Amino acid sequence: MTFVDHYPKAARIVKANLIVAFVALGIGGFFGLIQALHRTDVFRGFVSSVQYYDVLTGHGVLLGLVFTTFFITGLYQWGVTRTLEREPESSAFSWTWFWMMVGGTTMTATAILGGLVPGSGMSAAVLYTFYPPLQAHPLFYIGAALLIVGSWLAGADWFWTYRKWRADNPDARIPLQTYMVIFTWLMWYLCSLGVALEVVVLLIPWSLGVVEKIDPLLPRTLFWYFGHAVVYFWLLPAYFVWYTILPKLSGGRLFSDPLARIVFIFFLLLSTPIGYHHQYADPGITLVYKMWALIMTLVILLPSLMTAFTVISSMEHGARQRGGSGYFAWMGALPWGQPAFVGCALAGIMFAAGGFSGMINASLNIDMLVHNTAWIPGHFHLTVGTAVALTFMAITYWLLPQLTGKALKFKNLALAQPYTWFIGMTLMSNALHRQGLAGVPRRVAEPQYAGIDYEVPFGTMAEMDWQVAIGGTILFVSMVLFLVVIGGTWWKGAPATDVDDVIPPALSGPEHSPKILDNLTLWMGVAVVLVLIAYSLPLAEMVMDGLFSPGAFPAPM
Amino acid sequence: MPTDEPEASTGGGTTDEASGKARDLPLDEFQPYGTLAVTGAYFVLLLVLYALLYFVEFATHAPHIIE
Ligand code: HEM
Ligand SMILES: [Cu+2]
Repeated sequence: MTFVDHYPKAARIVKANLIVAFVALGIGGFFGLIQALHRTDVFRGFVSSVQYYDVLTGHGVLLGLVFTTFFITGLYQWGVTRTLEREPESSAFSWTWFWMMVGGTTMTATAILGGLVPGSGMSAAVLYTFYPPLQAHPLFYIGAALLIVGSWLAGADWFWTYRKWRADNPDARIPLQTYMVIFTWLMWYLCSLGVALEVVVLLIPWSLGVVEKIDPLLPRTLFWYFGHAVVYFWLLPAYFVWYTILPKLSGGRLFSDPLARIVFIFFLLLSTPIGYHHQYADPGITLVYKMWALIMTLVILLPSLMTAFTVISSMEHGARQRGGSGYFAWMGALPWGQPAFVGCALAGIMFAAGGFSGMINASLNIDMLVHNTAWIPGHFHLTVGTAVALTFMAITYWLLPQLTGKALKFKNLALAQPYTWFIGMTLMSNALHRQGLAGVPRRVAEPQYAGIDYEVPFGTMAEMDWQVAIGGTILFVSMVLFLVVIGGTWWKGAPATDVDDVIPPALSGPEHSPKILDNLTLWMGVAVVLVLIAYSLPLAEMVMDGLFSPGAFPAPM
Repeated sequence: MPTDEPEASTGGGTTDEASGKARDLPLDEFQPYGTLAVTGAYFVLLLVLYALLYFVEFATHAPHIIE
């Protein structure tokens, strides 16, 4: 008896979400391969250099927004159902949000892929940061809005379950997994409001031709109001896995449950007010707000360092229970032959490296050296592209038997998968970082220019290009391995008898922590106040001269 | 059947190997020296990289990476 037997309705919803996530992963990953080969001039036969931008948009949107969102809604549905021990209150409602998200995704994807079909009259090569003056087909924006609203309803579904549970358990502490779901979604409501307003109020009328010109700064600011917090929307579910499941996979128990709660409070409070750090290079935003964002960004390192401490100590606890000892030697006692563990652990290591390049990005002045260069995709393939994506893939190896009642198939391929991803990403990411230092731009189909030689600080351009191409190919192969294991398990997996689905309680449980940590109204209130401080004046100033002015014409796409 | 021992498993996560649990380590006997060592090492690495950054980016007073 496992999850699928106890909660068949929830299991179906979780599985449906994961299927969409993995389809997006497959298509988006293939686009990634095309980019890695095209940019480096290793092979330019898949698409033309104009279509490159359709592919790039598809890659960014399908992986950054679709794969992540659907995986997260699936994972969180599992966590809520499992820890509150309740099926969804209404299947009809759950399927409504799911199909709304699928409908939105289909519209957005159609608009993007239309750009690859000559004569379709559709195009959406606006890149995944879809603000003006680049303009997409209206379908793109309408679909994006539906995806977001669908995710809001998913959250409402979990709050509904939570309220029912609360009525039955008036004095209990919120179980940790549900606590994390709630805090992630409170943050998500707060930040995605910005992008929803951008899309519905500004971009949809503009793309439909109701208004002709658009003020570039206002939608951009609204986008980044959402655009930094969205990285925590991706990351917190990975933390959810690292805090609540990884300790067990390591053979131990979570070190401290209250510390995990405090970390999630930090993220709710600080994720949204720091969006300006993506606008360091924008005119029209005063330096005061940029400095404020810089300081707050360094403060938000704190909860990530707390996470490093808690997660590493939980792993150490596991290693010591498995007989490990010493200052560093204990790491050898970890289960390096278990795919789910290995994926999460390697994802964590990559995240530590991404932390460093992230600190460079956050530093207002140093950022100017790397702004819009290949350094940036080098950075975020360590964070969202590995810390998040590899964690999601790895934990699927552990979740799928619970969701399908089938034993994992192709265990050796599953074990090879995280290692190959790690190797591929080491090659691709280090080379992208170094190309960025040499001034190679990101988002360019043919980043080579007549008469200009890049000054390469470390290595040679040819060597870096090859590392990107080979690394990208290895990553693609790794992703195919993942899909084979998942597909094989789903269709051909033998029925599992004893599915491993037990999560032991934390070493230091919530009963030792103040109840104020669970006060949702309080923390949401503080978060709203911090957002108002950071955003009300600048936004008011941008709106006062008219929503669509000073206006600029759309860039032809 | 969910049990409190990770032994029983056919899932992709903890299987035979993870049941290599040698002992039960309660909170008050657990001294996370390894965590201290690892996070300390990361912190030192950050400082070294920051120092390196200063030399490669600023010590030349030019907008170049190295020279
Ligand atoms: C098969 C593995 C992957 C490969 C080979 C790959 C390759 C690339 C390359 C070369 C770029 C830079 C293109 C350019 O700037 O011209 C890029 C951009 C990007 N990648 Fe990936 N990637 C992979 C996986 C992922 C994953 C798993 C995610 C996120 C979950 C991701 C998210 C992004 C995003 C958001 C962009 C930026 C799109 C934009 O500039 O609008 N990638 N990818
Ligand atoms: Cu950011």
